[in-house]
Amino acid sequence: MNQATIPARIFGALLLSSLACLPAHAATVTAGGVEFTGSGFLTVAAGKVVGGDPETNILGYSAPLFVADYGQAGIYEKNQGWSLAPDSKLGLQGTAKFSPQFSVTTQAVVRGAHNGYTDLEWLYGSYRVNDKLTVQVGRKRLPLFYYSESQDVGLSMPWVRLPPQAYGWDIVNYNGANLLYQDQWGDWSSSAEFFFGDEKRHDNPYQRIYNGKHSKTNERWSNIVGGDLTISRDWFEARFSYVQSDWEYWGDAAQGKAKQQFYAAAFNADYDKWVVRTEFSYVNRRETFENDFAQLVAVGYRIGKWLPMATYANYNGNYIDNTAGFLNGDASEKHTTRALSLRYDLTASSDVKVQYDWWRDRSGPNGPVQGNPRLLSLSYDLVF
Amino acid sequence: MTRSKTQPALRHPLSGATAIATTLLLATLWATPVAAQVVVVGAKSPAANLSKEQASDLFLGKLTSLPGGGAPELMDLPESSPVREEFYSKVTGKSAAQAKAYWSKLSFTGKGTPPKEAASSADIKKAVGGNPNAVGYIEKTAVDASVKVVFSVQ
Repeated sequence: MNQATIPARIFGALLLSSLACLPAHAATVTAGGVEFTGSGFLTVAAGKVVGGDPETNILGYSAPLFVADYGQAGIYEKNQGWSLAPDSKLGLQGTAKFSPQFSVTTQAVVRGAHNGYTDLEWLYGSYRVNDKLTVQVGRKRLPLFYYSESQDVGLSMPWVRLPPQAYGWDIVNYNGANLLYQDQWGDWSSSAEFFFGDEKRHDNPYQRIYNGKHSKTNERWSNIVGGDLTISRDWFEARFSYVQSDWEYWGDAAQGKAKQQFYAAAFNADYDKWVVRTEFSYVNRRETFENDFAQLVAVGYRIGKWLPMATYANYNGNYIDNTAGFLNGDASEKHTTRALSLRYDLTASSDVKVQYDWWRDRSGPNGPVQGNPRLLSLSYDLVF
Repeated sequence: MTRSKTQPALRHPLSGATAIATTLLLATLWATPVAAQVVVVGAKSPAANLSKEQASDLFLGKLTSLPGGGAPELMDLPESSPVREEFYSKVTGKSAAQAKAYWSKLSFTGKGTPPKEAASSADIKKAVGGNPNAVGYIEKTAVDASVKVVFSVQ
């Protein structure tokens, strides 16, 4: 048993014991004219690398390793056996509504990937200007892709976790402001958002995946500006987004900076019993000779409360035009995960899932090496 | 199924099992019909009638104002209520569980306030009666003078 598994087990026991005391649904009390609402979400997930190659040590990790959550460095390692840490989490959200227009919301998440430490993911004031327009200021999730903002809420997704190839980015929050516009156009519903802000993360967990388990690298995304548009009608939903920022990282093992642009499109359908989730993204970091493409395609078919689903997720991180000698040889990062998952809705607000993932690494000889892990995972999700 | 007086109560373990299975089947058939549902607001609410699409959008957080009214404050029946399951599947085309999964993507990301859970249809009537923006669904048979029906599930 190594050190990392001990807090994970204590954390798991805490999570399981917390199940017994969670309320059945959101609770609301009113005091002094202010309405307080408490709600939350829980995921207890266990996973194990059940096979794959090569079996070796890479950057302090036991390979093959399955990166379940890039942003939080939630990683399943070959020598760890069953682990609760990478994907388990408990989130608590509180909203104080001062008037029909103005409210303040905070959300804290305790996660196994951080050995049980609490992260403040959301803290924002919200002002409803009119029926269609809302202004929010504070700390929020960065809405890079379709599920980015609800990435911790297991019940909101068909999988045990978001496909890492499509959601594997360094920064997941920002401090700033956003405008949210929701409207109806004929039979179409729309939700549009414009936002700007900044995020700095000391000892960013993401960077440890690339620079070593015990390395320390700080990271900053500044001058973040972006927008997204979601339109839906009946069984169809589409989302388009663009985000740009300055990007900088520095630490004991690596440093660099570039301007970056994220483009993404998602097309989803819930047609009769068929469930389709697709997402496509392109990222450009010109100054570090990097461009990245990711694709996600998932198809499921509902049978009563069961949702079996097949998922394909691919990531190609290419280094182009390396004329300045920024990189030594082919350092591209390329991998694909194929997954089979099964979700069963226990109640309207809880589910259990089982999932099997095959991760195939096709990175260049000087790219990051994670191996070709096969992962079996089980989860229980609840919202209250 | 009637049993003749001369027949012993349980002739064979299998007939006991058959009797239980039949009872369960009858109980299921008996319990299946759920009263038709209606979307209601307070009797004095200015809210206008809803189309099926509007009712669906409303209870999936896509309609941010009540036609003719203000910002909607949604009410749900408890998870255990068959009326809730029937209402969501008929109006939104999603099961109550799928609707909750959809809401969990909005309520934890600052994009909507999910329905508050009421204990019963009586509590929903009481809530909408006292708040012109409150809107809920109840079984049609529970409608009385305290509420206004803005949509009937066919």
